[in-house]
Amino acid sequence: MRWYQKLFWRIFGAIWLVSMAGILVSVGVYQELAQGQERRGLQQERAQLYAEQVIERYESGLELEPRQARGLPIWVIDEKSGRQIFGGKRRPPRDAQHIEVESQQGNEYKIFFPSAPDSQMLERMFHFVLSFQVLWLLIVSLISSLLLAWLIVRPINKLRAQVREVYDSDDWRPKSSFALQDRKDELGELAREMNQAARYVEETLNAQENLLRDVSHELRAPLARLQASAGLAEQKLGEDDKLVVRINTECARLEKLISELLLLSRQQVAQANQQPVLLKPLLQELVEDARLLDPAREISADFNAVGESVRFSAEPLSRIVNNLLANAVKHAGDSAKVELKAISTSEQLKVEVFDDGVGVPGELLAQLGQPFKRGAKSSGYGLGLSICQRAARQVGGEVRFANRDSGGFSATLILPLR
Amino acid sequence: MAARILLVDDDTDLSDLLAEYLGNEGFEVQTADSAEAAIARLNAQESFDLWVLDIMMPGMSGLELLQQVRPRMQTPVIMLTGRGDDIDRILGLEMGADDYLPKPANPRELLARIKAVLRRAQSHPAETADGFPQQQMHLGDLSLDPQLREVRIAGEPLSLTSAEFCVLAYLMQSAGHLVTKERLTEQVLHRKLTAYDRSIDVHVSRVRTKLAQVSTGLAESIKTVRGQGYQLALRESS
Repeated sequence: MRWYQKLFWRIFGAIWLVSMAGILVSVGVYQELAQGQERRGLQQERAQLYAEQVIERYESGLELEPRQARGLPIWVIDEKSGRQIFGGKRRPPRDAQHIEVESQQGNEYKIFFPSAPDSQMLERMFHFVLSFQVLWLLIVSLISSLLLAWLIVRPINKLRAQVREVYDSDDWRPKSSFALQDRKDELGELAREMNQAARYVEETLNAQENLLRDVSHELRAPLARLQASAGLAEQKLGEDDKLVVRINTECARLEKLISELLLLSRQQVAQANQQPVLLKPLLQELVEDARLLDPAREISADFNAVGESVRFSAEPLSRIVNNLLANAVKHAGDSAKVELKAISTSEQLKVEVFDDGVGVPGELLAQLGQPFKRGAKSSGYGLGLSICQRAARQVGGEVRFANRDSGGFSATLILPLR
Repeated sequence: MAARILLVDDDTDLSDLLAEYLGNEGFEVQTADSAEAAIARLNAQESFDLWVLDIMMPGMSGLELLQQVRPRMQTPVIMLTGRGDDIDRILGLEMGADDYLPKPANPRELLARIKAVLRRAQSHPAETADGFPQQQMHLGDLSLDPQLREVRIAGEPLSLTSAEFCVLAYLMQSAGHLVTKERLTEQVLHRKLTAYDRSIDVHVSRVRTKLAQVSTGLAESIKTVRGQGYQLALRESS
């Protein structure tokens, strides 16, 4: 988000601009109107004074100077004769203003003079904008719009941070820490609504999880009976009977699916009574297991960056690393090498499992942690990696998936050391 | 004579199916639908060559049952654990089960386990051709008599399950040398070592625990060679 896209600056900008424009225009128009009146009055006075001189000379028969007075041309017309007695040969301009005066001798004259000149309008505006009042207005409206924008945006940001926190920690339980809830205004309302929504999400997730667990659990009994029946059929029809083989394969798939579903929904492994074990031998054992899984596969391991005496709870670490290794062995491709690299610091343990195989299509990469997302050619159920991610999250860690620049897929497990 | 198997499971439909399956394979199978029923049979002096015991049962669980009957019953036990319940699995082995099988399981797999456990339990040491030691062995305070299936520490008898007895016998036979997990699994459990199979480790640790109750030195003499196997660091006593 660029700075100008931020709500704060937008609100601030809008309020400031509108208030400035409003104030400037209204003050400007008022001043223009008031001063215009004044100027017009002044002009009329000048014209009248000058005209009176002209009329006096005219009535006393003195010769009239043909020249116009500097700055303010006037035209004087004798009402009685209708003759223009001053102003040269030209008629007064159409938009000229006029007043009627009566001389001391009782004659009536019409005096024309031009409307107030507007030539200095821009200059006047310029002076006006630079004037102290305007600067003052500018500062006051700046401060007030900053304050207003802050008042609006601050609680929104707070709410956003809280929602973010809920999302990041994957903990949807209602938060009493939604301090905004105590507000009596619309934002307080929003916070309360949000809390309610979070509660609803949590309940739904729980219900879904329970359903998943119960269903998988309940499926085990009929599957066991199905397998036993398949065994009986096998005894009658022979081991190589096509139907028997088929039933057995499908039973095996069901069995695998159910056990993975149970793992997925049963992540709350009792971690309380776990004794931490030495990390290096544990990792060594996990790699050995993976080698047994596929003896032909080249699997290398690098634990040099793990301290000799570093201890760690075996669960969920072993389950996650097991799954990551099994995933790599299964999906990297036949000739791909798999490598495990572990690094431990005082704060965290990082285990990266990567291969030089085919990698994962970009659009799938972001969805890998979700249950039942899997590659087009995958034979699994798309549960292994989501099991990893859930297990890691439960102990405050995470699993990241990426394609390597040099080709192949990489999964990185990060667990906090406690 | 056909081996007699007691199948303890609350799912009677499943028990009946499995009983028929195993019956077709030449076993004589009885079923009990609860732990209490199984105890009643034990009290009635009925003898079986093998128990297949489900952990998850209403009322007394399979684990509780095993814990209760183990001291007075040496019959080998195969536990059926809920799939994915690692804790149950480990507990079952520590409680003295001879093997476990996740449930639901292929009946062929169950048959293979039953045969392996029976072979181990019934095999007369003299008849085995898989290198099982036949002579009495003495290492320090530890003595093992394959004929009597008896282990003594400084003359005191030590009670071991048949799997634990086999583990100790093979380790003593190769004392001072590494015994790989693969070999030990094949010799003791009569099956190939597969990924994530920790049964042999549990049996070894169980032997260690039992030895430690008598002598910590003896328990520590079973060394773990990480990623490879086990080694008994004891010298033969004259």
